[in-house]
Order: sequence, then C-alpha cells, then structure tokens
Amino acid sequence: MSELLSIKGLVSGYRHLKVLQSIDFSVDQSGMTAIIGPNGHGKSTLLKTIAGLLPTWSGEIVFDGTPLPKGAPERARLGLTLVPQGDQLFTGMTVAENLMMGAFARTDQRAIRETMDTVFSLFPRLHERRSQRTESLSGGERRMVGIGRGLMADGKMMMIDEPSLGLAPLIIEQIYEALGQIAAEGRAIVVVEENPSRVAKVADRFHLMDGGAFAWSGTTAELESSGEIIKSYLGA
Amino acid sequence: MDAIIQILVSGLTLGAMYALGAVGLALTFGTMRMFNMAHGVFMTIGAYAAFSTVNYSGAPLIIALLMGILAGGLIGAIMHLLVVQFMLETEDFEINILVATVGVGILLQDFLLKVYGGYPFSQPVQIDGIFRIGGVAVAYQSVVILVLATVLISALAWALTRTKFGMAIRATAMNREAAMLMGVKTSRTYLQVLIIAGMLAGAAGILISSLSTLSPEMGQNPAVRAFVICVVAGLGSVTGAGIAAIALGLFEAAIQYYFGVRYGLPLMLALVVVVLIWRPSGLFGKQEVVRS
Amino acid sequence: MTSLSTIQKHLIGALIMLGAMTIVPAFVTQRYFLGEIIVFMIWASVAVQWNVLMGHAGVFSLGQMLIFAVGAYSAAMSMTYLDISPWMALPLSAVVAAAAAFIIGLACLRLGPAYVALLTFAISYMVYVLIITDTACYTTVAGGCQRFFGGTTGFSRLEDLGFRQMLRDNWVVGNYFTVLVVFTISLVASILIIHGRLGLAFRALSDSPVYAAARGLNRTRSQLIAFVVTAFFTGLTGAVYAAHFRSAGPSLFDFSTLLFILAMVIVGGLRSTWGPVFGAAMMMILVEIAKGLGDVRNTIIGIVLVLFVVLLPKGIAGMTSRLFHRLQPKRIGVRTEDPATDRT
Repeated sequence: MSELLSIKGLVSGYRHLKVLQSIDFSVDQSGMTAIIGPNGHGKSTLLKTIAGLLPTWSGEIVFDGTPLPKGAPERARLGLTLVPQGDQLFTGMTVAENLMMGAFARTDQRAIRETMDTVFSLFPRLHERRSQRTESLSGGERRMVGIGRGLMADGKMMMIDEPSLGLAPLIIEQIYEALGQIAAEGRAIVVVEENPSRVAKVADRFHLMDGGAFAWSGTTAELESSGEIIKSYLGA
Repeated sequence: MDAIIQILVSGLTLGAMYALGAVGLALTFGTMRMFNMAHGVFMTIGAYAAFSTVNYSGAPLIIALLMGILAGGLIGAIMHLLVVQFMLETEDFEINILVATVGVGILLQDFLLKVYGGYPFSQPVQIDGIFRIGGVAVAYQSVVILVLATVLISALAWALTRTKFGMAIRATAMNREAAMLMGVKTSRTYLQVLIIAGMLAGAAGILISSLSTLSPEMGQNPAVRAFVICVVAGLGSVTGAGIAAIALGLFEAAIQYYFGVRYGLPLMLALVVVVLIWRPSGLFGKQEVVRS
Repeated sequence: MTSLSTIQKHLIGALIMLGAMTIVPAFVTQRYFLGEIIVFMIWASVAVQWNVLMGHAGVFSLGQMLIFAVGAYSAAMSMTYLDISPWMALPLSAVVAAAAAFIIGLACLRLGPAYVALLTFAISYMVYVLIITDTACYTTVAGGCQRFFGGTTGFSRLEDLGFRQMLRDNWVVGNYFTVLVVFTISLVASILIIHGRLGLAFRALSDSPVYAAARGLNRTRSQLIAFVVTAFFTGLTGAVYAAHFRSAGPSLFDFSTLLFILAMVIVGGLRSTWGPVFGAAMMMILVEIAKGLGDVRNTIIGIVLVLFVVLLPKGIAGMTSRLFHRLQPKRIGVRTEDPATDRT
C-alpha cells in the first residue's frame, strides 16, 4: 500500500459553479507531485476541496487508508496540510506565533520545538525575524512563514498552492530548493504551479489541469519528451 | 486639585465599567464579524442573576458575583447554540445577525420584565462605605469596580495571548480560513467567544447596577456606550476598545463635572462623530471604509 | 404578456391596491377599525421607506424612528409655537426630517454597514435622552409647563386637521383619506426609486462595486441621496402621525416600536418592492390576534425577528417569488457546466 492519497471521480466547485469534472488523482507516500496548467482551470479548487475548505459534490477521497471526514479542521488534524495561496498569514501575530499556530493540533511540546528548529534551519531568515509581526515582512519572507507554518503541522502530506506567486526569480529558486529538501526527506508534497519549468527539476510526478480535469499526466522524463503538448496548453 | 481627583475617580470608574462591556463586544465582532445587539441585555441578565442569588439563597457576595458572571456566559452559549450557529456563513450575515440579536434582546428583556416586573431594585452585590482622598469622597464600590474590571480584563488579555484557545480565537479573528487549516475548530471558537463576551457583560451588568438600580432596560444605556466605544476604537479592536473606554470614561466624567450629567452622552457622541469623520475606521481599526 | 415595463406593472399594482383602499370607508364604519387601518398605513409607509434604504440602498439605519420622530416633533412644535396650520406643517416637517437625515448621513455614511447601524442607533438614543432629561420650562400651556422639546410628556392636544368641524362624527374618514394620500405618495415614490435610476445604481453597486465605481457611480453619494429622500417621506409620515393623533411624544423612540417596524420589513423581505406592505399587514394582524393572550407584543416581535432571519432571510416576498419561479417552466437559466467557458 504505497498510495497516501487516492481520489476517485471527484467533483466540486464554488456555490453553483461546477469546477472539477470527475478527477482521479493519487499521491505516493513520498516525493513531490506537481499540478500544472493555466490559471482558472481548477488547480486551487482541487487543493481546497482536498483540504476540506470546499465541499465535495461527489466522488471519494481516501487519505492514509481511511475516507476523509468533512471539515477542514478535522482533515488538518489527520495530517493533511494546505499552505494556501497568498500565504494567508495571521498578520497581527509574530513569526514565531504564526509558526506555533501551525502546530496547533499537536500537543508534544518537545517535538514541536524540534520541528521549529528544523524550520529555522531550513529558513534561517525566519529565526532572525521570529519576534517580528508578519505584516512587516517582505513577500519572500512571508512565503517562508507560510511554508514553515505548514511544516509545523508535521503532517503526512503538504499541499502548497503556487509557492512562486508574486516572488522574484531568485527567491523562487530559494523556495523550491527548500521544498526539494523537504521532499527528499521522504515527505509527500503536492505543489500547484502555473509554469512547469519552475518545478521540473524538483517534482517527480506531473498533472496538467485543463478545464477542471487532468489533460495529461506523467513523470519527469515524459514531461521533457512531451514539451510541445504542454506548451500548447499553456499557450506559450 | 480636588476637581481633578474627582474627575479621575469617577472617570476611571466609568471607564472600567465601559471597558468591561465594550471589550466583549469588540471581541465578538473581531472574531465573527457579528455585532451583538443583545449585549446590553446580557448585562442585565448578569445583574439580575447576582441579585437573585443573594435574595433567594443569601449566598455571600462573591458567590453572587460569580453566579452573575456565569449567567452571562450561559446566555451567550445558549444564543450561539439556538440562533447564531445556524446563521454563520450565510448571505448578508453582518446585517442578519444584527436583526437576529436585536430579536433575542427584546425577547430576553421582555422575559426579565415578566419575571421581575418593571420595579427598580437596588443591587445587593456591592460594598458600602466611603473613604477620602484629599477632600474627595471615594466609595469603596468604586475601588471594587476598578479592581474587578482590571482583573477580568487582564485575565482576558492573558488568555488571548498566552493560552492555546486564546491563540485560536485571535487566529480566527485574523484569518478564519487559515485558522481552520491549522486545525482550529472555528465553530467551537465562536461558542467560546460568545461565552467570554457574555461573562464580561454579566460582570459589567452587576457593577453598573451597583451604581444605579436594576431594571429590565438597564442594559440599554451602557450598551449604547459600548457600541460607541467599539465604533470609535474601530470595530473588532479589543485593545482599542479598552483604551477608548477609559478615555471616554474620563472625558464623560469631566463633562459631567463641568456641564452636568445630562450632557455626558451627547458630547461623547459628538466627539465620536468628529473622530469618525477624521478617521472613518476608528482610532485603532484597520482601513475598512466602503470605497465609493 | 404585453410590453409593460416593470415600473409600470408595479405602479398599476399600487393603483389597484390604493383604489381598493379608497372604498374601504364605505364598508368599514367602525372608528376602531378605520383607526387600525390608519395605523397600518402609517407603519407600512415607514417600513416601505426603510426597505428602500436598507434593502436596496444598503444603508442599515437604525435611526428610522428618529427620522419619523423628527417629522412628528417638527409638526407638533411648528403647530404649537408658530401657530401654523397642520396642512402647512406636513411639508415643512418632511423638509426638516430630510435636512436632519442629510446631517446624520454626512457623519455616518462613509462607514461600513455595522458602523452605520450602531451610530444611527446611538444618535437616536442620544436625542431621546436629551429630550426626556429636559426640565426647563419654555412656555406655559394651559397652566402646565411646556418644555421646548416636550420633555417626558411631549406635545398633545394639537390643532386637528379640520375634519372634526367639517365631517363631525365621521372626522376619522377625513383623517383616513389624509393618511391614505401620504401612504400613496410614499409607496409610489418607493416604486419610482427602486425601479428607477437610483435603484439601478444600487443594483450596479451591489452586483459589481468595482465596475460601478469605474463607471463613475459614487456609493456614498447615492446612499446619501437615498437617506435624504427616504427621510423626507418618513418625516412626512411622522408629521401625519402627529396630525392624526394630535400629539407627539418620546414614546416614539421606544425601542420596541423600532423593532416592530423592523420586523415588518424583515418579514416582508428585504430587497423586495411589496414585501414591507405585506409585512406591515402581517405584523399588525399578528399582534392584534395575540392581544387576547396578554402583553405579548414584544415576545412576538422577538420571535418573529429571530425566526425569519434564521429560517426565511428573504422574507415572504422571497418565498413567494421562489415558489413562482418553481412553477414556471424551466428556462435556459441552467448554468453552463463547463468551467473553462464559464470563467472568462
């Protein structure tokens, strides 16, 4: 049993607008999966539905061997972490408080300390800024807090929505380097990204989302060989 | 000199009571974007619960005080369970919840009127006697009010910043969706917030009634003040509400001293309108003005 | 279906209803019932205006009874101090109410909905406190002390509309038609606002604030206009109230009266056109029936407010229009299911 997340026939959307058209999707116990494709085709909707922020219209989601309960808090407590688009930090709190909120569902104080040290070693900048309010941080630092806060949950699977959004190329590289490290430590990561070239080096599975369904799926090698198809979808 | 002491004493006493009422209101709005129009009646319920405890059981004052505070919390919980939880996340929540809590308020006030009648009682939960600072007579009850308000508000501040459930409340207030992603069960957080606000209102009600009398509509006047304080502080700003309450208490005491009791509230309100024209989102609020 | 515009349909509906109301006095001769219908028309008029303001313009004012009271007090004070006839006092009071609304609106309307609600509520309460704590006598009327704003007793025994002399025992019919005229003006004005340019502006502003703003629509200004215009008609209704009852007093500020009318608006359905009229009728009948159970008016108001907001937030109007839609054959209104085409 190597699948951590297994989704069959998932349909979902916003209010009356159906966005996801029967998605089948699975994620392995470790490694990085990238969902790519142009904006407005349901990538974020998929993550939000898995996280429980949007209701499942039909289909089933099995996580870690059991069907997922309703509600985002309950799913977060099972080890399903979503780092939402645009960080969604608690802006009135300090960096350290934000990170501690990430560990909200955990109780073992020592283990939490250890995770926090790991986050600080991954993003040394956050250690310098730990008692600063997040509203005064730069875009890149905020993203680090967002990802760090996700890591603090010490979940089984972390989903990150557009980690490169609005950042300078140099910072994007730093962020992906960190994500690569985390994936290499044997954790499952799902990344949503508009531009496949950013994730091509670090991810090992790719799904191209178009019109609320996967138009193409494959490995790194397959991605390279079918570059033309991808390009046509992205309109490049 | 005596004038200043007089204004300070009555201003701080007023401010402390206002703060108790306003902080709970601000917390509710800040966390759930809900303005509780029944807040004033929560105060009244706390006051009557303390009154009844003494009258029917002769329990010591401290027990009566606790009963009043508990009654406030209980009514907050009941309102959440019977009304508010069904309205969360519905369309036009901000306006509909105002209407719903207005309805709850008039129901509760009507209930109190039917149980206790309109006759004004005096609040037994207070300490008699005065002492003097310089030439100014200070009632022991003023000291009780100051101490109790300080203790309760400090406890709230401590809980919000140092405990896990307090952090959850703040996180929910700042970003509800993100808080859910952290595993915060926001429906439970909302319940906790209404209980806390109710308890603070209950305490405020007991203290306010100790300076005047108990009547079913006694909560209206302090509630209006609490509304005004929350508005001037910026809706949802809890610290701001505390500071604004003390400031407006002192301001009102000065007005009352120099112009008479009648002008306290109107001039306070005039000041508030001026403040809002200058800063439409309140002194401590984030920019929230509707753009044209 | 002929090509009647929405506004024409509503106006015809209003004409039919008001026409029916003109023949009511021919059948209903008991003074009590006519009096009740007069009260209904007064509250319905306030509710209709409040619905324009709250449901359509998005101004959540809790100061409507203040505006109403300004109208009533202006009428009472101008009759008492300036000795003008009630007929002159009516338009004058409406103007005063509109002016008061203009000032309050300038202070409040830049703020968000909750702020507006609280401030208007606080201002009403403050005016109420100022009036009832006034103790200095301004003049002496009939041996009694008359405070400038009436104090706790208010104004009473105002000059009547003149029907007592003209119609003798049937004076109430004269009052009935006077109130009916005011109600007509108020209702027709609300239809013209809701389905006219101003209403269109509000729909645009609530559907797409950014786009509307880009087209030069100014929300605060439109709301201020709505606040002042509705205040004019609310104040007019207040004045006719004072003229009919020949009195005006601080009981107008009673919180329960405000909630009684709020319940009418909510029960009828915010954002509708006719909702408040039905809501007013329903609440009046409900309270009338329940009179037998003792003093339960406030209990009913509370229960109705909570139940409707929780279970039927769109009110009766919303419920009936939903039923109506369900009965109609399905149109092409089914949303396209392709997200790619749906989000352009």
